[in-house]
Amino acid sequence: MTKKKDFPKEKRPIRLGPFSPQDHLVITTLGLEFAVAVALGVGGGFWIDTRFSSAPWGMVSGVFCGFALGMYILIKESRRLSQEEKNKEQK
Amino acid sequence: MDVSHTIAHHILDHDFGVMLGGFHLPVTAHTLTMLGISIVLLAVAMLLSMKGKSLFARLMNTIGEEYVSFMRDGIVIPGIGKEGVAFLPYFCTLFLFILFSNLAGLIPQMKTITSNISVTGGLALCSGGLIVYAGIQAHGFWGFIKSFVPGGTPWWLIPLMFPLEVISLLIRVCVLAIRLFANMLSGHMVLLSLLLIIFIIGQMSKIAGVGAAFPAMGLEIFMTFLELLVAFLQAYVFTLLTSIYVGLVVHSH
Amino acid sequence: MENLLNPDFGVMALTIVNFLLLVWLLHKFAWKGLIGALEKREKQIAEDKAAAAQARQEAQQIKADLDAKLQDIASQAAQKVQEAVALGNAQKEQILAETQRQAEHLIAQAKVQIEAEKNKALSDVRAQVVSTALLAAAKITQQQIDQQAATRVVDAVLQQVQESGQARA
Repeated sequence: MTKKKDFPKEKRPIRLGPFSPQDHLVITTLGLEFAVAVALGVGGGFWIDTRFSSAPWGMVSGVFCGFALGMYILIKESRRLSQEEKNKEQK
Repeated sequence: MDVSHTIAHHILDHDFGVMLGGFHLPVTAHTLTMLGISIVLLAVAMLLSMKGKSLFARLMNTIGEEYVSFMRDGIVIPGIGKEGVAFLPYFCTLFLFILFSNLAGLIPQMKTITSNISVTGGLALCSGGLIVYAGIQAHGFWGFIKSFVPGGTPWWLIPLMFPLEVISLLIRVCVLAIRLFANMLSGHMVLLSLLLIIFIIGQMSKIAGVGAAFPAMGLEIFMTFLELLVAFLQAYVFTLLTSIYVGLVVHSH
Repeated sequence: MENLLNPDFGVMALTIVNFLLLVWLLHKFAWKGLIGALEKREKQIAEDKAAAAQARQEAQQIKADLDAKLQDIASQAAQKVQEAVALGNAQKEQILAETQRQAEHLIAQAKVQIEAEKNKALSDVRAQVVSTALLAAAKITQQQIDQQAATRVVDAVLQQVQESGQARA
């Protein structure tokens, strides 16, 4: 990994970790995106419940669907972030 | 004292019920505040770009150019690339609008429009529209539709992946709105609650109320500074994330 | 509590309209001028830098040319100086030879002239001596001098004078 001390003192890029600053911001978003995905699933399940009056099952399935959607988004974003060229470390 | 009435008065929106020939015009307290903030923003922006040779005009021009340069080199070009300069006016306005709205909420009798889910939803919808518009401009309409499905997925996965990707874009836009709304709302609720603690305790006994004023005011001052920081931060995060999403859509190939 | 989480679509629509109108107005009155000024200044700086780089390159080119020319001139000058020195030396030799020849000529001429003068002086002295001797002899003897005897006496006197003159010369 290219360490901070490998650069001369005037030219050190500001890195908080192995990712670029914009990607750090995207990473902080991932938690809320997961929560909103689950909430959306719950909302969809609630709507199905009111439509078809299948008392808890709509919301339960909505929770699971939302959970799956959230995990899908999380894994896809993480993969994209770690595979991006500018994030790859020089070995 | 009626705590719920105070909270409702300060946090919730109040519709004035203006009707124009059967149409319910959305004239609310928050909407009027938004109009005032827009006028102030217009005045400030025209001040920053004033023409003239006096020292004040040159100072204003320098500040304006510095701001535009900050937006362009810090937010638009790292997110979208060189072709993003076409969208620079949108981002400049977005940042200043959210910033002014957040800061206006800290002024004692003013309302915080960004603690209204409708307002932040509207802003997020504008950013979502910009994302779709940039995608269509970069790839064409069918190219934009096709960019939702990553290259090289087997044909039987496409009916599953396409709705997931569309919902993913929808969730991104919703998260933009919810983040700003939740931060502003929670901040103002805490600010209000800390002051209400004094009055609630004061209702039980006046001396305890006066005694509770000191820690409550200390926390209140601390929370006000935190809210100041959060105001700037949330404006910056909203703008930067919009530019990142536009960049992801434009460079999706 | 419901008002908090239920979106009011009228306010949402008004927000969108207000915001888009604000973007358009701000772009027309503020951002266009500021972005234009920023880009103009950056272009000016880039042009100035390019012009300066080109000017520096041209100046270096000119300097290289001038250096080559100076080198050329220096070598030519050295060569010319050498030629001039050689020419000077040759001329010096020539002039010296000429002068020497002329001097010798003058000396020879002077010698001849001295000889002629000396002879003339000698003949003048001889005539003077002859006349003095004749007068003396005529006065001493008071006789008519025999032309031949007189010439014999005169020649003897002249011989004596010539020997003494040669001894002195």
